[in-house]
Amino acid sequence: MTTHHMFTAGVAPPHYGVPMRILHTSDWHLGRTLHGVDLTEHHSTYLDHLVDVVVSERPDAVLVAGDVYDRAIPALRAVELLSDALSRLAAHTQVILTPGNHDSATRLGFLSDALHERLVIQSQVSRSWRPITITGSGGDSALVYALPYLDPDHARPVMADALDDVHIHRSHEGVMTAALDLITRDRTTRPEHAASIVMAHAFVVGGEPSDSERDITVGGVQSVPSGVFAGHSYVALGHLHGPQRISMPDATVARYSGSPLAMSFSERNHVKSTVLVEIENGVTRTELLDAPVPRPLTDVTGTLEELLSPRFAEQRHHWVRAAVTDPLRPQQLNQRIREVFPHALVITHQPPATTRAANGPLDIAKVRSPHQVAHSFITDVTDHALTTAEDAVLATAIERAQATEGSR
Amino acid sequence: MHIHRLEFQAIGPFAGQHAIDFQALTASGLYLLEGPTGSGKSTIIDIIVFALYGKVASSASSDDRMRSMHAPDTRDSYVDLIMETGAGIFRVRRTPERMRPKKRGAGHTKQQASIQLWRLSSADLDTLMAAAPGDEPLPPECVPGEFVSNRIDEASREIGDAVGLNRDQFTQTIVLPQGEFAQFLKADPEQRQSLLQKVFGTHLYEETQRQLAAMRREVGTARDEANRAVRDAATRFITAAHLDDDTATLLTAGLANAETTREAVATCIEHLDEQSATAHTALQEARTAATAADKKLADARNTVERIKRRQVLTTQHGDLTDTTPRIEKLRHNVRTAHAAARVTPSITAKHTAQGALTAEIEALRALTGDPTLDAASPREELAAHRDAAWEQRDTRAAERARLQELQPSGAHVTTLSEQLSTTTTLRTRCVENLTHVTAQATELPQQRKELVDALAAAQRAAASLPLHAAAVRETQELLDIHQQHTALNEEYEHARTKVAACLGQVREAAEAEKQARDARIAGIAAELAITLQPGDPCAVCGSVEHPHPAQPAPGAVTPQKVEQAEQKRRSAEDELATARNALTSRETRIEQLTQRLAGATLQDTTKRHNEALEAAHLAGIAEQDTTKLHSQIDALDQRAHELSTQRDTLGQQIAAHDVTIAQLTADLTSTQQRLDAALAPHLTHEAQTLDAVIDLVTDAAHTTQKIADAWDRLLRCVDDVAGRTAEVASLVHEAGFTTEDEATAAALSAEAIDQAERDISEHQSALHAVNQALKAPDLQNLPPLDTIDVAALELAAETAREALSQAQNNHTGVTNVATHANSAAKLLDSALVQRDQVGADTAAIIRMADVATGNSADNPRSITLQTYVLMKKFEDVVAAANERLITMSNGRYELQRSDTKEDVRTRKTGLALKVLDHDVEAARDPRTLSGGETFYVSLCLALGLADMVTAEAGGIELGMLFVDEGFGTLDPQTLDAVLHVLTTLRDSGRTVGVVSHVEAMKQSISDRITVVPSPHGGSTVSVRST
Repeated sequence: MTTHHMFTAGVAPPHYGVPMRILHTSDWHLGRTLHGVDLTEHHSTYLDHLVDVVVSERPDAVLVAGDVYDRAIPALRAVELLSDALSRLAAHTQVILTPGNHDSATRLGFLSDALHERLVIQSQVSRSWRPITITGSGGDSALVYALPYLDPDHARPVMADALDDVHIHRSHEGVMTAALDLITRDRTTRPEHAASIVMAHAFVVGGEPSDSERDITVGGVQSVPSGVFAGHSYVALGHLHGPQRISMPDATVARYSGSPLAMSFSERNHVKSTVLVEIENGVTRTELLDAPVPRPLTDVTGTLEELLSPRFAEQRHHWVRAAVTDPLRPQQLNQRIREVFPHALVITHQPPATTRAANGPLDIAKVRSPHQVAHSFITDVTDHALTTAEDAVLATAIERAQATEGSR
Repeated sequence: MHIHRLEFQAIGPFAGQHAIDFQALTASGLYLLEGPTGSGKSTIIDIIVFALYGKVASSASSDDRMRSMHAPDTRDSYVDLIMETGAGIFRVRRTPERMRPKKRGAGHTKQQASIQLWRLSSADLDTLMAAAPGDEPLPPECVPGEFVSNRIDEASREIGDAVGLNRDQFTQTIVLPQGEFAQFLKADPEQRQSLLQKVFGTHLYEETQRQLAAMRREVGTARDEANRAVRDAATRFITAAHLDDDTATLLTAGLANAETTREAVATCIEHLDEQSATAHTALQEARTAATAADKKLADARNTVERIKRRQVLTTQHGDLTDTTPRIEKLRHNVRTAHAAARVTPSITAKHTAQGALTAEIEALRALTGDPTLDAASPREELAAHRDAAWEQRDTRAAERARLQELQPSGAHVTTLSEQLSTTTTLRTRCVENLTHVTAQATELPQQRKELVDALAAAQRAAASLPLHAAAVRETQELLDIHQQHTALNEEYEHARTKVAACLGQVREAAEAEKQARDARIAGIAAELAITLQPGDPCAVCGSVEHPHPAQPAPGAVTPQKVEQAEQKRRSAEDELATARNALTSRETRIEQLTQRLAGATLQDTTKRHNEALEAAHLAGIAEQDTTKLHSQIDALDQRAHELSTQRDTLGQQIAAHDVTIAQLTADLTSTQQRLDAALAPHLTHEAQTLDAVIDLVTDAAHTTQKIADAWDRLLRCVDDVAGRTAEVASLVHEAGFTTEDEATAAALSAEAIDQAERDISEHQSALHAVNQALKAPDLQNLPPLDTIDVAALELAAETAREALSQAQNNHTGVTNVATHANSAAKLLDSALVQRDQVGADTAAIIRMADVATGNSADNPRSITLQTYVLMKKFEDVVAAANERLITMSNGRYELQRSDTKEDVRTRKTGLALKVLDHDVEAARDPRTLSGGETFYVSLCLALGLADMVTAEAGGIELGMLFVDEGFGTLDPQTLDAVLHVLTTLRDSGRTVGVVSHVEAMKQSISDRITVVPSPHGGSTVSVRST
C-alpha cells in the first residue's frame, strides 16, 4: 500500500487552512453516438474544457466516477481521446478513475498497477476498500475509496471472501453495503485523515434517471438505498446522467456529477456540469461548473407548416426531435424537415387522436363486439349504412356462429 | 404460454442431466442464454420446441441434433418440459428416436421416439418444482399429475390445442429462431393469413360468413317457394272461378305484378257475384210456385181422407147396434151367477160334512166291532156311548201305571241273580286252584331228595380229580421217555456205523502213510542224489564221488506227500475218536432211560395215559355238576315256599266269596217274592212276566183311547152337518133361489163371468167411441167425393217441384263457383302478401350475405368479412409494431399494410406488408432491408403481434419470446434501443429469453443460462438467477 503524496508541480506553496478541493466528473461515454450522430468532437471539446478547469481551479484531485467509455470494447477514437485526456489531466493533478457499468473494468484497468501515482485506475473490486490518499494543498489529507462498478454476481464472492464468507444478497444493495462495510472498517483504522470520499458507480434511490442509462437491474432491483453511503465527507456518484444531489440521512454530501454531454433527448433540459468539491474542517461544499454545450437538444412539435415557420428558427441548428402533428402525414416529411433542421435526429408523425381513430386501424378486439365489427365491415366496404333488417340479419348470423363455436 | 421448468438428459451437446428452473428466470423478465459458438445455446431452444412439437425449431436443422453423441449408449435421452397455457398446466416428456445397443446380441437397434403427457394441478406443479433433478424417478403411479396420453399423435394434438399454435406458427411468434426470425416479415400473405387466423381466433367471423351464406341459401329457397305459392294460388283461382283461357292466360302472365293481379281477380269476383245474385232470385220465385201447388194438393187429399173416415165410422155403428140383444142376455146371466156364487160354498161345505160323518161311523163300527151303530141315532145316545168309551180308557190307563211301578224291582232281581252267578263262578275257580297248588306242593319233597343224592355223588366224583390229573402227568412223562429212548437207539446205531466207517478210514490212511513212507525211503536215494555236489561227501556213504546218482523215479514221493498222508491218518484217527465218544455217550443215556421206564411198554403207558385223561375229564364234569345241582336245590326250595303262600291266599279268597254269595242269595229271594206277589193277579197264560203283562195292558189302554176319540169325532161331525144344513138353507133364501139346486145351476165359473163382463164392457165402449167420432167437426159438411180431382193437382205440384229443383241446382252451382273463387282469391292475395314479405325480409339477408362473402356489387374490392377482420387486426399489429419501430429506427422506418397482390396467382388478402422509408418517402419491400434492419423490424413486428394478441379475448396468450441471435447484426446504438425495448417488455409481463454472444448483452442482462463447454466434450448448463 503506497501512500500518494501530493505533487504540487510547483504551483503554489502549501498553505494551511485551505480546503481540500476535488473535481468530480463521470459518465463521459466516450465513443457514444446520439441517434446516429458521432459525439467524438463534442467529447473532445468537453475534455479540453476539463483540462482548462483543472488548470484554473487547481484541484487536489480529479475523480472520474465511471462510464468513461460507452462500450466495453471502445472505438479507437474513444481510446485516443481518453488516453490524451488522462495524460493531460495527470500532468496537472492527481486523477482517480474507476470503471462504470459500460466499461470493461479489466480492459480499462490494463497495466493500472504500473501507472505512476498521479493516475490511479482503480478497477479491481478487491482493492476498492484500500484508500488512496490525496493530500490537499493545505496539508490535509483525505482518503478516497474508489469503488468500481460492482456487478453483484462478480463482486459478491470477492466481498464475501473479505468479509469472512458472510452472506451477501445478490443485488446492488447487497454488494454496495458489503463494500461500504469494508470501507468503513478501513476508515476506522485511519482516523488521522480528515476526510473520506467514496467514489461509486450505482443507481442510488432518489436519483432521477434519463433515457440513456443502461438498465442494471439485478435480482429485479437496480437501485441502492442512499443510507449505505452515510458517514463520509463526500460521495462522488456516477451512472445517472442528470447532475443531481442525493439526499442523505446524515450530513454526507452525495452528488451525481452527471454526464458532461446530453446523451438522449430526455436530457435536453439538463445543465451539464462538473462538480467542484471543497472540504474544509469537515464541512463539504460543492460548486457546479457548467460544461460547454456544443449543440443543444430540443423537442419541436407542431404541424409541418409551423415547424418550417420562423417560429422555430432558433432551434434550427439544434439537435432536434420533431413531432409533426398534421392529421395526415405530409409528403416528403423527413426531407422537408431536414432541409430546415439539418440536425434533426428523430422525425415522427403524430396526428391528433380523433382523426387517427377514423382513418387508422380500429381497435377491434378491445372495444368492439363482433356485431360492431361486422357492422363496421359492411359500412366500410359498401359505403352505405345498414337498415334495421340488415342489422338484424348480421346479429342472427353472429349468434348462430357463436352457437356453433360454443358447441365445438 | 409460460415455461416453468425444463429438464433434459443426453440431448445435443449435453451429455448429463440438467434442469433449468424457468420460474426464477421468468420473474426477472429478461434473461440471456450465453455461451461460445456451438456450445448448445440454440439447442436449449430446440429442446423446448422439440418437447412441444417433436421437431426442432429450425426447419433447416435435423432432428438428429437431439440425441447426444457425448452420452454413453446406456444413458437414455429425454426432455421433460413443464409449461402452462391458458388451457392448464402440462408436463410433457419425450425421448427422441435413437439407435441403442441391442440388449441381446450385437449391433444397434432403433428405439422409437416416445412421449408422455400429464395434466398438472397447481399442487402437482409445486411438488415437481420442489423435486431436485437428481432425485430417484418416481414409480408411475406416484408421478404427480393426471396422465393424459403416451401416444404421440394423441399427445401432440393435446399439446397443439393447449398451446394454440402449430410448430410453424410457434416459430414465428414465440420463438424467433436463428436466421429465421424474419419469416413473418418476409412471408407471403397466405401464410401470414393462416398465422394471423390462428393467433387471433377469427373463426367467429369465418363462421359468420358461413352462416350468412347458409342463410342466403335458405332465403333463396324461401323466395322460390313464395313465388311458387303465388303461382299455385293463381292456378287454383283460375280453376275455381272457371275462367276462360284468355283471362287465365292474362292472369298468369301478370302474376309478377301484384296490383294488376289483384285487379283482375277482383273483376272476376264481381262477375261471379252478379251471376250468383241472379240465380238466387230465380230460385226464390220457383220456390214460391212450388209451395202453392203443394198446398192445393194437400188440401184435396185431406178432404178425401175425411170423407172416407166418415164412411167407415157409420158402418161400425151399424154393426154394434145389431149385437145389443145378445149383450143384454149376457148381462142377465152374470147377475144370477153372482148370486149363486154366494151360496155354492156353503152347499159344498155341507156335502163335505156329510161325507165326514159317514166315514166316522164306518170307522167307529170297525173299532168297536158293533155294526149297529148308526149316525142317524139321536144325539143323546151317541153322547152316552162316547162317555162310556172314555171311562174305559181311564181304567186301563190307571192299571198300566200301576204295573209300570213294578218294573224297577224286576230289573233289580235280574241284577242280583247275575251277581250271584258271577261270585259263585269265582269261588269255584279258587277252589280248583287250591287243589292244584296243593298237589304241586306234595311233589316237591321227593324231588328234593333226589337232587341231594345226586349232589353228593357229584361231589365225590369231583374230589377224585387231582388224583387223575396226577396220573395224567405221570403217564405223559413216561410217554416222553419212550420217545427219547427210541430216538436214542437210532442215534446209537448211526454212531456205531460211523465208528465203523472211521475205523476203516483210519486203516486206509495208515496204510497209505506207510506206503508213502516206504516209497520215500525207497526214493530217498534220488533225493539225496539231487543234493549231491561233487566234492561234498554223501550223507549216506560219505563218499565224495558220486558216479551214479540215483535218478528220481517218476512219481517219487516227496516229503510233503508223506506228511500229507500222515496228516490224513491223524485226522482220520481224530474222527474215529470222536465217533467213539459219541457212541459211548449214547450208550450211557440209553441205559439211563431204560431204567426209568422200568419195563413198562409203550402200549401200557399209552393205555394208562388215556385212562387217566378220561377219568380226569369225568371228574371235571362232575365238579361242574355240583354247582348246577346246588342251584337246582335252591330253586326247588323257593318254589315250595311260593306254593305255600299261594295256598294261603286262595283260602282267604274262597272265604270271602262265600260271604258274598250268602248275602246276594238273601236279597234275591226277598225281592223275588215281592215281585211275584204284585204280579200274580195279572198273569195269564200268555203273559207270564211283568213286561209281558205291562205290554198287554198298554195295548188295551190304547184301544180304549182310540174308541173314545172316535166317538168324539163322530159327535162333532154330526153337529157340523146340522149347522151346515141350516146355513145353506138361509143363504139360498137370501139369494132369491127357491131351491139349492137352482143356485147350483146358476153358478158359473169365475172365468166365464169375467169373460161375459168383458164382452159387455167392450161392446159398450165401442159403441160410445163410434158415436163420439161421428160427432167430430171435421167430418161435418163434407163435399161429395167425386168433386175432387186429386190426380190433376198432383201433376201440377210435380211440375212446380221440378222447376224448383232446377232453379236450386243452378243457384248452387253459381254460388259455389263464387265462393270458391272468393276463397281462392283470398289465398292468392295472401300468397302475394307473403311473397312481398319474404322479398322484404330476404333482401336484407341476401345483401348481407353477398357483401360478407365478397360477391356483391357493393363490395368493390371483394373483401370478405374474415379478410376484413384480419386486415384490421393486421393493421393493429402493424400499428403496434410501428410504435416501437419508429423509436428504433429514429423515425425512419414504418411498416404499412398493403392491399396489393404479391403475386399474380395469389388472392388479394389485404395482408401484404410494405416498409415505408421516410427518408426517401417510398415504400419498400421488406425483403430489401439490411440484416440488422430486418432483425429489429422483425422483432418489432413480433412484439406488435404479441401485444395485439394479448389484448385479444379469444386469442392465445403469447407469454414468452425467444430470440435466437441476430443481435450481432446491430450497431451499438440500435442494440441499446433493442435492449431498452426488451427491458420494457418485462414490465408488461412478457418474458424474453435472448440467445447472444454479444458482450454488451452480457453486461446488460444479469440473469442468464450459461452453456459451458466441458473439457471432455459436450456442454453443461448453469443458471444464474435470483
